Amino acid sequence: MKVNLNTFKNEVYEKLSKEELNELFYWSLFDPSFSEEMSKKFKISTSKRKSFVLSKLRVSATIKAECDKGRKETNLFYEQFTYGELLTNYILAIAIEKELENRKIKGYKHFDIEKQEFPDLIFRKNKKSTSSIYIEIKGIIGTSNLKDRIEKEIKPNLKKGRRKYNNFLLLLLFPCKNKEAERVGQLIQGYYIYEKIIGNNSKNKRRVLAKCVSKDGAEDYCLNKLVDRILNNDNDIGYFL
Amino acid sequence: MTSDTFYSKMNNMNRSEINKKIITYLAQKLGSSLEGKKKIMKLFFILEHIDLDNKELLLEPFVGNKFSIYHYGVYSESVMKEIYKLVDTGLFTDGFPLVLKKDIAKENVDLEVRIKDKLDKIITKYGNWTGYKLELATLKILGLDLDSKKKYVGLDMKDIIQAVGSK
Repeated sequence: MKVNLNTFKNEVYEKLSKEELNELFYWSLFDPSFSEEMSKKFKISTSKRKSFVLSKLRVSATIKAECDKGRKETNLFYEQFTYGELLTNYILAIAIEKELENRKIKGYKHFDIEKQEFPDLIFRKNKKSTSSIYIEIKGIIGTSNLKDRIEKEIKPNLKKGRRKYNNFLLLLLFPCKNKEAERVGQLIQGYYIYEKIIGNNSKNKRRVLAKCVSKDGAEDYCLNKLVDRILNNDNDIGYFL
Repeated sequence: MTSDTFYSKMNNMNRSEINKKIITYLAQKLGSSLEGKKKIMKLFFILEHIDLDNKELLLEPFVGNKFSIYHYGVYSESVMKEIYKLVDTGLFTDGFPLVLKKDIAKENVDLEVRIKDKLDKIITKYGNWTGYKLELATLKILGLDLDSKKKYVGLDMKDIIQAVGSK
């Protein structure tokens, strides 16, 4: 079963509190294979993740009906929807859209989100690609191979030139335990240096934003703050003007 | 030997014990090229699902560990559990690189010949590759890239191989 963005928005997003949405977003950034990049003492409980995520997603009648079919259906839905980036992309897309409404910035619509192709989020004001905003989200746990990953996974896609990626944001998101968020947050602030790899220059807005997302939604490391950073003119980003 | 016969034999053995031996053997042979958990994981996948002689994908895993695809490519929960167990027992010191305890480094690992032979081939061919290079290579062997892999996240490797094989 595929849950589309509208179903998710109406049946899940609108029903959860700010705190619940933040924690759902935090868990959405984790993946079983993260174990490869972290030592055992930092291991994440996949059962805790599953229990929380499913309890929140089941507020949707559509999702609940699917899960009620049985364990096999529940597991298949859970694996594909919550580990396949859709959950992260949906939450962030809706959060941006709602904040644009709050700020009375009109005209931007996200599209192609269900395709799960590069880049993760596309906001378009009109049919002219020059006014489109592209966001690629990388939920990561470690920084080993980060430069290689940007070189090999992001740069070639930007070079393909199917679209003019003038407004491109690479979002590096680090899910963090509450007490570590501040320390990690300081360490990753300097990752704007990777803007060189994605071809940032004075004629475009190709930027890198690295942020921690903490489980408890501490002020500086929550979903709302992240959206704020994307929409504000911080570091001269100012995509949605 | 058919895979059915092999699996029935496996019932009498402890797969966890075999996994432990495979990981130890890889660590002994790779030495300072061992890197970390990622490299063990990707080499283990090659052992399970790639026929190096005929350059084919194996629908049934060679030893019996289930693999899926996640964010960092091919991944098996049972293999990771075994690595963690080895860390717990002090065989490895965790981190990057994983370091095998000195007195284990030269110990003879008693593995089935067919497994040992295949591991030797894997080490010869891929032993010097980095974990990240193997992450990309194993996806490529499956005919997937970073975008197309998203459609198969969380699925059983058998289903993935059947799906990519019929594309």
